[in-house]
Amino acid sequence: MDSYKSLKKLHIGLLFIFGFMIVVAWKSGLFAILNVPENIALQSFKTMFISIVLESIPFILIGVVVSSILQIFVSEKWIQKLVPKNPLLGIIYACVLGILFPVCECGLIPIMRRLITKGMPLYVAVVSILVGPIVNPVVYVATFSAFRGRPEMLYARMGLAIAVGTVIGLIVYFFVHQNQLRNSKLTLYAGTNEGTTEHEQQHRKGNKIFAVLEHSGSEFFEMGKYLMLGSVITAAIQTFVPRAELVEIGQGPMVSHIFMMGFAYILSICSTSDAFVAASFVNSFSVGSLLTFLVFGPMLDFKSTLMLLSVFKTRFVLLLGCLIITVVLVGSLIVERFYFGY
Amino acid sequence: MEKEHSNKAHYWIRAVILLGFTFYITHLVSTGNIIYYIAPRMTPYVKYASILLFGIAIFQVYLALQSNREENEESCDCVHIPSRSLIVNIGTYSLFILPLVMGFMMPDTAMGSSVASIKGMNLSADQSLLQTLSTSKTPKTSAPLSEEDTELTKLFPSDEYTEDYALLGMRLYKKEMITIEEEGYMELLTSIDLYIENFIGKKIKMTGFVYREDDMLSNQFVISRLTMQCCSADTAPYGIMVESVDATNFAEDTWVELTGTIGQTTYNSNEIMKIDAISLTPTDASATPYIYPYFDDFNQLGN
Repeated sequence: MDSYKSLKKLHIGLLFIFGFMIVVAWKSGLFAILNVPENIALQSFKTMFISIVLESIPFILIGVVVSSILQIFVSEKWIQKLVPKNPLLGIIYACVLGILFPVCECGLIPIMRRLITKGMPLYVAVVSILVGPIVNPVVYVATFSAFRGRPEMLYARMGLAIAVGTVIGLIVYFFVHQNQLRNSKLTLYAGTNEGTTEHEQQHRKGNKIFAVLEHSGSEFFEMGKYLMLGSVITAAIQTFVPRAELVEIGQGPMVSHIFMMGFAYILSICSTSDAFVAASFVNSFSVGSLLTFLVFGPMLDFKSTLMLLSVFKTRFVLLLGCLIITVVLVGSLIVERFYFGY
Repeated sequence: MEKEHSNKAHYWIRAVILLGFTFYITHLVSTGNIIYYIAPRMTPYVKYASILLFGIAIFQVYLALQSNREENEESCDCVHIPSRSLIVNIGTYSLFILPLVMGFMMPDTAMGSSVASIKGMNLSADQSLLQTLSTSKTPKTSAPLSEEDTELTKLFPSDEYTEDYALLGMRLYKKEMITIEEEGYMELLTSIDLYIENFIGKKIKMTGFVYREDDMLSNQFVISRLTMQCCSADTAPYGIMVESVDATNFAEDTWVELTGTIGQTTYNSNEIMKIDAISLTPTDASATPYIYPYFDDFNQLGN
């Protein structure tokens, strides 16, 4: 009985919130009257935080909806058959997948998580997550227009991304064999244990589209919480850490590369717009270190680390992080030396 | 049964949050305030997303009601959600509620000089363009040109990447007074900055907000705008140095309309473009808080 009472309270509470929101939606100017203490920094934080959230929502929705459709409509066997057996072909396949899903990492991570549970080899998914956000057509165009005067940057970015993806993909292929997925309720659903049967019974009861909506709902919250946390931290850094001071820290030839990685990591800008940010640093940083920024950022940043942690075991995320740092650094130093010619 | 109970609460809370997002996005679109957060070319996606969110939200309500019915059918000896996971859940859902609370409770405002000082002001043209320009000084002649135009092409050397800016520069060069509109703001200023020698002494008119740095002289300030690619997180301040005896009359973040002559000055050991003010008048803040990159035909600019 006790729980029933509390449930009722919950319902009344929720009804109140619903009503409140409807009032807010109808009378939008309501809160401008409530004089929130004016604080410019807090105001900038709010603007930045909300804009990051709003910008990511469409992409993460594409991700969770595609992932849910895969869950309901695509069978494990089909996915397993589709992936080439040869690791190099698998890597090419992963890059093509990245072009087919032109979303940044917010959208790709939920899709790849679903594909792994459906039997896609880990290395193919990893390559897609790393290379996909860079080789997609939207990022290609953005990089081209940001670096109009330096097209070699565009080719270096795309080329290095694929090279880094290939190296890391092969390492994962040869050395990582265990299941690296974090065991969540959702992973169990797609496996062969009891979760599936219970779940499939539910699906038989209802419409398949309903099932997609149900999955999308839970996955939106599952992935979204990491996105939200990442956005809060990113907005805070963008609001409170002066860039000029950051820039002064790293100016040496090697330091600038490492600095740019850290910079990309904490800024967590979407891969579709980071080229423009990089372009504004052309006069203070070497081209090589900007390349590091452009390749490293989409592969690993604050937001995506949190999202990766929701999918993979912590140890695997750490391994992946170390691999990305090393391979991108070595790769961009090589490109700087032999392609840009410094 | 425990699962059913906790699921039910989850469905309700999720429905509320998702509807909250739908309402918030609808509210931003209907008031037009969404321009404070997202670039116009991105807004359609956010709109479609809100429709999808609404669909998912309604389905969460349906699920909650359905689990209600099931519960009534069977006798329920539900146990409360364990406190540890309750805390985790509260934490998780607060993360989603936070943007809604901030969104509804705080006014929508454009960012100004405070952001500019954090992000660092850009006072010159796209450096990557300048670099290629210095390496390729060969004037490009594609079509037969009149005497006057050949003279012009010599003044505006270009390569394949700066050709658009050179053509734009030639059109601006012929003008009595160059007006920097919001549309193509960056591109117009970049073109002038690339060929600054040709424009020294010419008249220019533009609008922006006042921004200052500590090491600027008392007669100096920057007339500035924020540029946006996708969302506020990637905004970057872009401005031109202004010199005027009246500079001190204008407080930080004041919007001014400026007419002046183009010149050059040195700031932080960089040669940059400056404007000597002829007239400076306070004006209203622009209706569009940001300026966006220009994706249309370059030939439309500067006419």
